Amino acid sequence: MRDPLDSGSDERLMRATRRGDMDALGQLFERHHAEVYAYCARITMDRDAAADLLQETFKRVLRYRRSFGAGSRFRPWLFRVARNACRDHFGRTRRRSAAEGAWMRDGAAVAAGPDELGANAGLERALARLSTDDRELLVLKRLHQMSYPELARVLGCSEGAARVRVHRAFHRLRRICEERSGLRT
Amino acid sequence: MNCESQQAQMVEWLAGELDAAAAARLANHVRQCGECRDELDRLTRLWHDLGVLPSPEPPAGAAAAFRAALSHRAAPRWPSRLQTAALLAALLLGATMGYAMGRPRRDPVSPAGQAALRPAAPEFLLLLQDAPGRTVPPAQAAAIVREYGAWAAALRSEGRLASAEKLAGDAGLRIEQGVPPGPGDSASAAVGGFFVVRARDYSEATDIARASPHLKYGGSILIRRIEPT
Repeated sequence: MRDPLDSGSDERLMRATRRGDMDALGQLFERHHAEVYAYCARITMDRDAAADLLQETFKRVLRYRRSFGAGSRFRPWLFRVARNACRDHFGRTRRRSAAEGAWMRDGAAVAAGPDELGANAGLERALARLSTDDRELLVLKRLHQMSYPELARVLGCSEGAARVRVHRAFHRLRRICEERSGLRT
Repeated sequence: MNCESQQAQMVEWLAGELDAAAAARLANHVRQCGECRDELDRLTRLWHDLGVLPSPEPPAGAAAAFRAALSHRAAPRWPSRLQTAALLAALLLGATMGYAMGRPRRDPVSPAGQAALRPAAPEFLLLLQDAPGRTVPPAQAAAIVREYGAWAAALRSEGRLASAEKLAGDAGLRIEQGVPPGPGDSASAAVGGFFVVRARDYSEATDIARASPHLKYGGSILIRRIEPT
């Protein structure tokens, strides 16, 4: 039996979505919803908000499907949609600082879950202490394995700028880790 | 060779995006420079640890919720299917709401759903009213049961479902002061069951209701905000 996930590239499915094929959109959701949710949870540090933003992201994929260009790559485009949804969320609720404050109090419980912290607790907390922009860079680069060209497309900057920003964000994370008593790098 | 310029390239090397010639120069340098070797070791450990952090898992009902939203959106494209489905409504409510809703009043939720629970969110009563005079062929009831079940499961896993009950198929009783209890009317009989859901406002409660399969099968849903006590 043919695996439905092999029925086409992301770009092909997105082109079908442009034509109104809801099954194609459903396949794109199946493929990418976990990583979009993980990204939103890491950025907002709020699992409830991330669940809403996951749905909102794919609603926007449908709503703005005609803006997906013929030569575009789907994954950076999708993350750009998710990124805009997260930014709108912060702007709408104005709770960015509150969310970060909650994270600081609760450690890494939002992103990892209280049972999943384990040996990663120190690093999770260090990641949470980064600015949202720095955290986003490292999440996209390291956890979502984005190349610099992909990252540049998501962030809307040059590849060179993306390289420099990742470098700086990683060293800021390293400094936070070194300041923390429980983690030596 | 300048340590600072070599260290500036270490993150790109870790990312696997340093070109071969520069990577060879870096490797040659760290063989000769203990300080840079230690620095690269520290960065490598942190890079590795960052890469293996667990990913937050999406709620179990996320895919079902999206499919439900999609089917709602796609439904107008296939009126013939809708017309067919509408005929199924009455039996559907008798048979399927019990399936989807027949569970303890305070529903257990998945761990992911518990994480998503928002007990402080306002609660809304969704009163599901049957389409009058509709019947469902038994052969199609199972598929509709699954549809209602998927909607209820999605709500539950997202922590949005506070409670749900199916009402018995009779019209119930109506009581008034000074009058003996009498049978309920047809409007009462049409009420098949209820869901209590958590939502920010009427708009979100409406979205939840619209994602249900109930409307497309000809039923209606009355939404009332529950006053906190």
